[in-house]
Formats: sequence, C-alpha cells, structure tokens
Amino acid sequence: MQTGTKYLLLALLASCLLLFFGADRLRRAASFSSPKAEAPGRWPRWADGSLLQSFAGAGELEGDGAAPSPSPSPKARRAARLGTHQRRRCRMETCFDRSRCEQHGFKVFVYPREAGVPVSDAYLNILASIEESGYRTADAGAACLFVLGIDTLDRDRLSARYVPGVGEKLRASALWNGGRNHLIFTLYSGTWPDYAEELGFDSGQAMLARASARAETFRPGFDVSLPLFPAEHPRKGGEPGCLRQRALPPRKKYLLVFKGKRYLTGIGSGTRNALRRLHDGKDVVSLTSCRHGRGWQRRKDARCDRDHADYEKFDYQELLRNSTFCLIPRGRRLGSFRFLEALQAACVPVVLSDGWELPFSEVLDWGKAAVVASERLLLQVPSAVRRVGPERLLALQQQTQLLWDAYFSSVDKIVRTTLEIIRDRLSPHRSRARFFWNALPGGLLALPDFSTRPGDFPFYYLQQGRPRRRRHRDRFFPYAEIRTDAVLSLDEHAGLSTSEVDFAFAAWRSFPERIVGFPARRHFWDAERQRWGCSAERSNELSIVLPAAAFYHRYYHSLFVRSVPAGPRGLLGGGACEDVLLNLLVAAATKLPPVKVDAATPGSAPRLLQPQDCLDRLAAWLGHMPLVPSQLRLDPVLFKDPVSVLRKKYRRLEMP
Amino acid sequence: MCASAKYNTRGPALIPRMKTKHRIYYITLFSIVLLGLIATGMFQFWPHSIESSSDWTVEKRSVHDVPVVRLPADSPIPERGDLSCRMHTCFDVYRCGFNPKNKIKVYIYSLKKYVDEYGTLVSNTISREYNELLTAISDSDFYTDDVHRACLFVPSIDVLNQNTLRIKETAQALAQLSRWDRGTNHLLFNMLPGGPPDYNTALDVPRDRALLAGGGFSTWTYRQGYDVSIPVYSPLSGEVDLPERGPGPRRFFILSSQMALHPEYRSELEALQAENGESVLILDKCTNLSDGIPAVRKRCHKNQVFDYPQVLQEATFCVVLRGARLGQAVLSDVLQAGCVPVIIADSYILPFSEVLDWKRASVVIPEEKMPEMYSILQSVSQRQIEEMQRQARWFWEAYFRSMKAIALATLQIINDRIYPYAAISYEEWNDPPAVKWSSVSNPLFLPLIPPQSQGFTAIVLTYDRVESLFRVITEVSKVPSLSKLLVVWNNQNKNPPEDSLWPKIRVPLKVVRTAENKLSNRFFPYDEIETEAVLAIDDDIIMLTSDELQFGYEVWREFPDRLVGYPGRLHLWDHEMNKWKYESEWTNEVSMVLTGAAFYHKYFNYLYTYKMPGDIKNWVDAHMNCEDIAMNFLVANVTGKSVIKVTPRKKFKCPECTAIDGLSLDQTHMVERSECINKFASVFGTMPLKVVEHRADPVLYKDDFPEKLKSFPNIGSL
Repeated sequence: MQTGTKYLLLALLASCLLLFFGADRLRRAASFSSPKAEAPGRWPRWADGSLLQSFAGAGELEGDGAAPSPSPSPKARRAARLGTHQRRRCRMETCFDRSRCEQHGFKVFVYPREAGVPVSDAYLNILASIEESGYRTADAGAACLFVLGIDTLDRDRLSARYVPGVGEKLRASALWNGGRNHLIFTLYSGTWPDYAEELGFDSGQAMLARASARAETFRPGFDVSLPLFPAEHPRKGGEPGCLRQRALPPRKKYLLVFKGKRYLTGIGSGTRNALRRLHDGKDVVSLTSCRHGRGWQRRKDARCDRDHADYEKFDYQELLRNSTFCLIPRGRRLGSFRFLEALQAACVPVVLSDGWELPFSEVLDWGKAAVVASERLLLQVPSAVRRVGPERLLALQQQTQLLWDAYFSSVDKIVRTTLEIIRDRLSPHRSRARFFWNALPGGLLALPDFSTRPGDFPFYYLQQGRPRRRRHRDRFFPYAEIRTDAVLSLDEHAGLSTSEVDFAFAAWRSFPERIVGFPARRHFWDAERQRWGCSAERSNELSIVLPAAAFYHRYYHSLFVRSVPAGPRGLLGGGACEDVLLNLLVAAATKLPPVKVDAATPGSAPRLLQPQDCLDRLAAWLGHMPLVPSQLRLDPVLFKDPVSVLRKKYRRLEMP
Repeated sequence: MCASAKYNTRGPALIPRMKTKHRIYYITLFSIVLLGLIATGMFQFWPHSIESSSDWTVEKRSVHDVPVVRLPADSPIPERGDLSCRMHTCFDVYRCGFNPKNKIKVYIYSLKKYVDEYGTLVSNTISREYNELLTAISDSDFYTDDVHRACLFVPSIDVLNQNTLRIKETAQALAQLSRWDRGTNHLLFNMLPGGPPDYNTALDVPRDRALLAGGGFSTWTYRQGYDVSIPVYSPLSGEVDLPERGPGPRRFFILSSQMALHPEYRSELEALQAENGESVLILDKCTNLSDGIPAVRKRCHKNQVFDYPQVLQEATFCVVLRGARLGQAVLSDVLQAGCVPVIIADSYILPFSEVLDWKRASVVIPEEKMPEMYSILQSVSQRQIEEMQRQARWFWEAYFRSMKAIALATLQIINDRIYPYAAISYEEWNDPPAVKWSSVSNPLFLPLIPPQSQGFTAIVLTYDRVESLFRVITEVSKVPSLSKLLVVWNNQNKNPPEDSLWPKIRVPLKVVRTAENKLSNRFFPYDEIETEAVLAIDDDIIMLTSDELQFGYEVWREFPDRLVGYPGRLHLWDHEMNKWKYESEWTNEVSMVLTGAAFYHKYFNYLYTYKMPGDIKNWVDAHMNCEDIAMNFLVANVTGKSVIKVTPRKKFKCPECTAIDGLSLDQTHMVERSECINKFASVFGTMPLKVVEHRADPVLYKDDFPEKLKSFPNIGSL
C-alpha cells in the first residue's frame, strides 16, 4: 500500500467519524422538534411567544363583537328567559315574583289547615316556628311567601304519613297560582326501589326546601337543602353540642366509626356493602347489620351472621361520642339522621354520599366542619383522615358545634335559617356575606338590617379592628343617632362617678360582646317550685348585669327589637323584664357570662324588682336557659392594694 | 515519550511484520479511533443536561413550526356538554390517586396545528393569553410531563374565544386527543362563549364530559361543583400599572365606563344621571379622537375626554352591566382600580364564586332594580365602602391580574374538590394580606366553659431544689380541682429522689425526666397531661394559697383561651431609646403574667413546642430566660386577647433567694427582659401584647360581707 493511499484512508476514516458524530447531533436536534416533543419537558418557550395575538381584540372584549344594533332589548330577553326557564330550571328571577315582597316586606302566609286531615308533629313544629318568626301574616294579599297547610314532609307513597291528593287540592286553591312564591317542605321523597325525588304532585314553580337533595336536580339559588331531622326534634332551644372540652391531641378513642344497616340489594347498597371492609378492630370501627325491612333473611349472605356478632358488641351512642370522625354514608336516600347526630356529638362527619347537596349549602361552608369524601375512594378514607393534623381537627370539631348550635339544634332554627336564606336572596345588596354564616354566633344572630359590615357587630372585633370610644344615654331602641359602638345605659338612680364609668368602659373595650356593668343578679333553678328564679342578694356568683348601669354594644338594641317578635315583647309586662331579656339575648348570642365591675357606691335602691316569673317565662319562650354564671369581678389592677393612693388611676373606686 | 516508548515496545507484538515507517501511520490511526470513541462517549453523557437545561433548541422554535394534524371530515365529534355532570359522575378520581402532597397532576398536550380535509386551518394559532396560561401551569407544582400519572389534562387547543374557532372542527380536534376518553378529566378554558345572535353562556364546542373553566356562565349552564367560573381577562391588566389608591373620597359616586351598552341600559343610566347630577358619570366611546391614540384607552362624556382605566379610580362605585355576554372584561379593570363593582347581570355566576365571597367586594343589584341603584348604593356606609374597595383590589391582585393567577386559582379549586382534607380555607381565599396579618384566627374560638370536674394538671419544672419542690407539691395538692401533678425533672446528672421520699398526695404524681436541661421542657405537651387546663408552677412558689389557686382555675374556666396568672407585668414604649421596655413596677396596667404560676390551655404547649415563630424557642433555651414572655407573646398573637391577671399578687417572694436578689442583679435582669421583648416583637413582626387595666377578683373580694360565706375568703396578699 502506498503511503499516500494510506493517508487518504486515514482522512476518510476521520471524516467518517466526524460524520457519525455530526449525524448523531443532527438526529438529536431533529428528534427534539418532532417525536420527542410529544412527551417530556415543560411547555415550550416559543420564539415568537411575544408576537402572539391576544385572544380577543379590544373591540371584541368591549362590544361583544358584532354591532349591537339589532340585538334584542334586555327586557325582551328577560321575558324570554322567564318563559324558557321554568319548573326544573326555575330560578328566583324566573319563578319568583319579587314585587309581592316589596310593598309589605318579607311576609309569610300559611294556608289554613284543613279540618280532619292529620298533620305530623314535625310539620306542626315547622308551622309554629314560622308563626313565631315574626314574618307571618294572616293576610294572603300581603304575603311574599306562601307555605302550605297540608303536611308535605313525607312524600314516600308507601309511608303511613303520606297525604294523598295534594295535587288536586293545590289546583283547587285560589292562591296556588302555579306554585309561584310557594315554599314546600319535604323530608322524604320517592320510594322503593329507586327513591327518585318525586313528590307525588306537581310542585310547579314552588321552591322546595327538601332533605336529601341531589345536586343534579337541585335548583341553585332557588331550592333550599334541609337536613334530615327526626320527628322528635325539639321545636325550640334544643340540646347543646356534646363538645365539652378541647383535648389535645384532639383524638378520641376511635378514629372513625360507623354502625348501621348494610343493604343487601337496591340503591345505596354499593357503598354500604363496602363499609365493613374498613373495620380493623382497632381504631376504625365499621359495623353493619343485614337486619332491616322484611324478608332480609331470604337475601342474607355468608357474612351477615359474623357481622351481627360484632354489631352487638358496640353501642351506637357510645361510638358516636368517642370517635374523632364519623362515617356518614348515604342511605337509600342521600341524607341520613346520622349527619345531625354526628354534628351534635362533635364527631367530624365524613360524608360518603356522592351528589348530596349538603344542608344549607348555599350559605354554609361545610369544608370547615366536615369532610366530604368520595364514595368511590372509600378505602382511602381511613388513611386520609388519619393525616388530618391537630390544628385542623380542633377547628373542625369546634365548627361542628358552632353549626349545630346556630342552625340545626331545633326545628325553629332550621325553619328560620330557611326563611333567612330566602330573604337574603330578595335583596342581595342587603344580605349577609358568607362570612357571617360561618363565624360565631351565626347568620341568624347577625341581622343584615343592622349592617352588612362585620366590623359593626360586637362579635368580630378581633377580625375587624377594635371599636371606637363614645357613649350614649339611651335605652333599648336603636335610635338612628346612635352611631357609636358602646352604649352606656343608666337610669336615674345610678349615681356613678366618672372614674367608675371610665373603668367600666375600659373593661368593656376588652369585652365588647358582653354586657359590662355594676348591679348584678344571679339566676338559679328553684327546685321546689320547679322554675327559674332570680336573686338580687349578694352572692359569690352572678349571671345577669342589669342595664341600670352598664355598657353594651349598640348592636344589642337592634337584636333586642328585631329578634323579639311582638308577642313576647307584650309578655314582658311593660318593661320590668326588659333588663333580664337583654341579658338572655346577649348570653344566647355569645354563650358567655356578663362582666361585673365594682361600684364604690352601690347605687341607691335597685330599679323595679322583676316579676318573679319573668325569667321563667323568657326561658320557656327561648326554649332553654342561656344564662351563664360567673365567679369573678373585674377590679382595677391596684384595687385596694396597700400602696399610695396617688399611684392608682381609679382611686375613686375605693372611696367609701 | 513514555507513551511512545510503550507503543514501541508493544508495536512489534501487535503488528509484527510492520515496517517502522508505517508505524507512525498506525499510531495516528489508532489515536484517531480512540479520540473518536472518547468524543462519542462524551456526547452520550453530556447532551441530556445540555438539552434540558438550556433553551437554545427551544428558542428556535415557533408556534407555527409544530406538527400538522389533518382532521378528516368524518372524524368523530364529541357529545354536547352534559348538563348533569358532577365530579362523582363525570370525573375519574381514580386517576388522581392517593397523593401525599395532595396535589393533582396536570398534563398539557403538546401544541399541534389542526387543518381540515382541505388543509384550511381549524383555528388561529394559540393566543398570547392561552400561551401564558399553559406556561403558568407548566411552571407550577401541578404540572407533570408524564401522561400516565396525570389526573387532569389540558389540551393545547385554544378555545378562549369562541369567535375565533370553527366549532365542529375544534370538537373533532378535541376528540382525537390521545387521552380524550369522552373528555373525562379534561379541562377547557373559555372566556368568551357563545356567538350571535343569542350568545350562549357556555362554550358551544361539543365537549362531552370535559370540565369547563368558563368566563360567562349563567346559573343555567354552570354545573355547580363541576365547572369553574373564571374572569374574562382584561389585557389592560398587563399594560397599565395602576397603583392601589388609598381610602378617601372619590370624585364620582357612580361611574359607567362600558362602551357597548345596550341603548335601553344606557337610557336607564342617563335617567339616573339626570336625577342625581354630577356624581354620576356615564362614559361612552370617543368619536373625535385624533389619530395615534388607542381608542381603548379613552372614554368620553360629551366633549370631555377621560383616560381609561385611570378614570375608574376616580369613582366609588363602577357599574358592570351585562352585555350580550354575561362575563365582562371591564370587571377586571374595575377591580384593579379598587372601585367597588356594581354588578347588574341577573343569573351571572361571578368568577370563582365557589370560593370567593363576592358580597364583601361588590354590590349585586337585580336588573329590574336598576332605577333604584342610587339609593341602594347610598345606604352603604363609608367604612364598608373602604373595606369593599380593599377587597376588590385584593381579588384583582390575587385572582384576576394575570393568566397565571387565573390558571392557578382554577386548578386550586379543582384540587380542593379532589383532596378536601387539605382544602384551602375561606380565610386564605378571601382575606387580603393586610387582614390576614392583623386579624387572628383563635384556635380555641368556640366559647366553651370547660367542666369544673375535669380539674387541672400542675406542672412543676425542677432542677435540684428538692426540699422546696416537696413543699410546693404539698401546697398545690391542697387545691380541690387539682387532678394530677407532673414533675419535670430537668437535671440529667442527678436522679430524682426515690419514690418513698416523695410527699404522699391525693392525686397521681408523675415524674418526667428530660433529655436536656432546657427551659422549653416546661411547655412541652406531655401525654401525661390529660386535662385541658395546665398550671405551670415553679418549684419555689409556695406563697399562693389554695383559695388563690382554685380561684385562678375558676377564672381560667371562664377564659380558657387566655393566660391566667398572678403577678402581672407590662411592656412600655421607651420614647428615648425608641424601643420596648419591660416594666415590673406596680402599674395600673398589665399586659403579661408571669408563668411562675399561671393557668393556660394545653394547646398552647403544643403551639409553643411546634409552632413558635422564628428561632424564639432555641433562643430562649440558649439564654435560659424569657420563656414566660415568649408564652405571653404566643398566646396573645394567636388569640388577639389580653391576659387575665387574678388577685392582688404582685410578685413571687421566694424565701431562699431574697439574699441574692441584689439591686445590680435586678438591673441586668430588667435589661435582659427588655431585650427579650424587643427580640420577640421583631420576630413576630408586630407587638401582639394587649394592655388592660383590670384584674379579676372574686365577686365579693374585700366586700363588707361575712368571710365564711365567701367562696374564696383566703385570697393572699401581695
């Protein structure tokens, strides 16, 4: 081989190598733009990204594109909507006549009950609650909202309480008007086997306040979703929540419990059948029983007997009270009694009911009080709830109690919440923001007529800045000129020094949601006479501070006037009970005792003595006794200390 | 040289019959091959990092330079959107799986160019906004490039504006996406739905089960809990910088700035203006603008010309009326200007209404009540207007200002539905930073008075003062409500006394030994504490009477979310030094209580141990001081409430230590404590302590009343 040829070969080889290399690079570059762009990498930074056109021209954004000249008049379009969005597509603007509410305000007319037709206790309770709500009118012409006199709670055709022939009766009624401005309460609808939402009559344009509402058919902003409550649910007052202490860690004996029926067949059986798989015999207790309805033994399967043995070992109430989370699976219908039971027991509900429109979902933020899980991810529930941290858990537990006590513990609260939600829709600009509904003391106690700004109320001062300093001398009527937050209520015998008033005001600023004042009383249960009594004697405890000399937030004027309907105000007997009533209202709203400060001059004779049965009558009217006793009194920091009087800011308080 | 010598020796063995003059040739050949191999090898390892980290290849690409997909005329079209779709019926949660981070994984399809049979484009290329949106998703934690792990799919087909699309072909393009599967778990973003003449309120493109993030839903097309209502993005947001305007009066009361108002609305507004005069301003298009000024940025009233959107800042309320569509880009401009929107669009689903509390930022007025608008708005108080303005601006900043903000809020909403256990709270969505900062969310917000029967657990931190400790134990055990006594033995060098030597008391007594001598051991949430109430007590506090302690417990029950203690202390602002000062003089005010003896909720032990901000906990342990001040700060910061000082007690006199309590020691002590306050205030970023002028005494304290009838007759002295 010639040397030249050899070197030529060498050069060839080298160029081959280079080519390979280059080709490799080229291949890579090519692959980056086409097949590889399919999968990995982030969204590309386009070279011409900055040159891209906007999604819509300015004219398009402003003027909706085409020239608006031939577009139909908004009024005509509104009228057209009215025609097309009826029945299942009802909304407030298409199926509700707001003009009826404008003249006389929000008034509810209840149809007279038909003689001889039985009405369930639960429905009677609902009607009685409307009666006492202060919205009731006897004049159908002045009414904004109509409620039926026929019991429509149970619309299960197989039920004994089912009232037949509702449709005919409604059509015959002169007021029905296709259901316009009507509100129909229903707890059970549909029946075996599909438990569809049928009512058995044509509800037309009526609003439905129903339990177990399905999200798909629920008309948002029109229907109201109710909780399922038992027939014996108290009409008023109601039991308090079960949370008595906030333990840390906030876990109880069990993590997650369920005890209930397992449907062998039919709707809802899927989830219920899977529940027992969660049972681990340790902190997750999930017990099912096949026993329900007739003929369950025909359908029972191999597991039934084994499950029954476990089932008997645990008590439902005991599980409820000792568990951190409670499974709330759907029953045949979406809602179940156990939802409210768990809420009361401070057992955080884990809702397994896909498509259930939770109670009062329009205003309540259930994410703060419950866990809405997916039926399909049932088996993930234990590990997911196990990871909920102590802070969130503590908040969840407390929120269950807040909601239970604010909206669910009595029929009265459920009905009033329903009415207030509807009322808020009628004037959206004068309604409660979601904030009010989900914070203490709840939407029913935050009157939008007073204000829609949280800072104007005594309850939210920590979120919304502190109240300002001013005083006033008026009693119990929200005179428009009271523009200050603190009201000093005095009567002619008070005779307080400025030092005393200053100190009381300083104390009130720390407790603006309470009554802070001088003369105190104590309530007690008179076992002998079986009634509440009120004692003016000096004692180690107090639960009432008389507004004969006291500071309180001006909001309580409004609460006093608006939340007390005419009836009980007459019951007050001309004012002697007023002082006590104010205390009851404030205690019911805050769940806290009043604050007593000491007066050097214990005033001259206390004002009129309350009639002895005053407290008793008021407690009966409220349905419970909200007063909370306190064992303390606030004194200035250096009160009666053996130091120079000159050092003391409130020295006048110690002078005889 | 060494190398060549090596080759020389090797040469003959490898190529024995080779002549020397050829050797150099083979050596060169060999080195070239070797070099080539090395270079190839290097290229195998390097290029990956080069390609993924630098944008050099990417930058070269244009949106027009993407693969073309031809859609045959008969390719499948998805079903129309199913109005009954909800998360549990149309969404496949199994794809999202159980995820420790509680984050959904979002996949973005790569960009393609779709053409019909005849090669005509189906839609415009991607718009600037949609590109920004996809970039934002791609840069977020939600993004995954692994199609198999994805839970949510976002097509790169831009449907933001329905006017720019061919509906049938776009639908066909969607249907051929590799994971389309009837649109399950697919998310489409649309801001301008519908078209003339009737302008549907949701995207008309058939999309089967796909979720729609839409910018103009009405209550009839919005599938609550499934779709997400989003704003119509205003490109002005990116162009114009409007600084937030502070509270205060504005020139106009009501302003309408929309140009394409329906004549019927315009006449209604003009009627309002006629009635209420100058405070109402109705703006319109400018007809006689000189060239070069973009018409978008000007509005006119008669002959007056106003800058838009700046003019919005001159108004208290800004009208946002429906046009042919419900969603209006002007809402974004109005919020940006901190003007309170007056929304007049019946049945409109406001942006992000699932999580945002619009009543705090806007006024909604039914269309039929338009004539009453003026009086309705006048009933809003000035303070409320200011809050709404702040709230409006915050909504814009957090959820409207960019496509990124819109995209991330949308994904977060869907994320919260899938992982409800970790959902973002109302406050996080709605409270502007200023409010979040100044307000408190009390962890013990429910007003509960714990049952007396529960009692309290006393915790005594001790090192080696056994004699004094035993006296404390004996004294404390006399308090009726004591339910358990816990001694925290902080001395690692010495064992606690034998069991038999401890005082015999009526309640359980437990000794916990610690691993290190740290002050923070006193505030550890020991499992042994089974009550809510904790009494922290030093091992030398023997002067407190049983009545005094029992009364303290009763007061704590009425204030379970506060520190309830005996001697109070005060923080003061030292004007000369310009810093905080610790005060232990007998003042008329208190802002702290000493934890030498104080009742508080066990939860605060948890907070102290795990949630103490900054390095305070370590700092306290290192300095062996100020743990009580830290606790006072912590509780006041989280609850926003003051301490409760009970009874006249002013200081803890310990009999053994009076001798060393010299003046100089006292001085350094005060300086150190002042330093602590300044240090903590800077870590907390605020001064959370609240000053009050009151203390709690028994109702009949020092009253002229028979002592034996008083519940707490034996309240000690100072």
